[in-house]
Amino acid sequence: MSEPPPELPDEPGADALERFFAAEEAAIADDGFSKRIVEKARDEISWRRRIVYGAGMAGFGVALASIIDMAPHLPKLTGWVDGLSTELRQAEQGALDPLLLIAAAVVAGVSFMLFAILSQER
Amino acid sequence: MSGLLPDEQELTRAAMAGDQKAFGLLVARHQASIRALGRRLSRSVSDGDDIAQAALLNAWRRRSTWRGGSFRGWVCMIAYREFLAGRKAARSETELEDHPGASGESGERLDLMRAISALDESERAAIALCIGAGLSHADAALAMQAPLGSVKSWVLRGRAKLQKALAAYERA
Repeated sequence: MSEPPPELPDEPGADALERFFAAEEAAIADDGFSKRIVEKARDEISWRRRIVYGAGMAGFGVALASIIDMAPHLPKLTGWVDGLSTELRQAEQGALDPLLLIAAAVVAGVSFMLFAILSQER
Repeated sequence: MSGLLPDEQELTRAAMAGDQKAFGLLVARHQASIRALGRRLSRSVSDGDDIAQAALLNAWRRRSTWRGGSFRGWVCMIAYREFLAGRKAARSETELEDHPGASGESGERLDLMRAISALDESERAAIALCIGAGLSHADAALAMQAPLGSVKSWVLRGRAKLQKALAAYERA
């Protein structure tokens, strides 16, 4: 094996490594990479919006349906809500317990809200 | 973290609040260092760029979890986790010839690339995060989920090995 050189130069410090890493980074050109990332991020936004808005609309629908079903138990604010509710009740012949409907509406609303939040965060 | 330029802080805050334009500017500004980190960790250009892409998109998705500090440092930490997740799925082989700028590479850089590839995985990751990406030892320890002392030790050992490679080249 070869002998070590008689005079070793000063050991290069971290600066030399940093220079090497900096040169390596400088050699990486932005060949459309950033544009692709931004486009993908934008696509994800529109996809998430659809989910969140869809979940919101579904939650709204459930809430509206529950309010209509709960109408007999609420102060009579409008005649049309009462009329609609009566028709709905006639259609269902009181098959469902109002308390069950309220509980289902709350569970559905909370589930949709959690789903919407999780979709937004992930 | 201190030392950030005000416009960098403003851009980061805006991007984390959902401003796509600010996010795009940050990506353009830091893409090279994040891709370089991915390439160093994976030892492959294509895998490294995939890691960088996944890290940036994850940063965008999880922007509400940003708790202040440097955008680059935060994304580098995510990139390291992406690397670990990807490695679990499939171990990539060393592709030295696929390394950034390998064609027409200077002898010094080739020697260092080989030296980096030859480091232990923990040493390579610690060097890539601390010296390459500029993370503090504490942030690197957080990203690597390793004790601070171990990270410091990996950086020291890895640096010593790389310095040897550099010194050998300088002697030649």
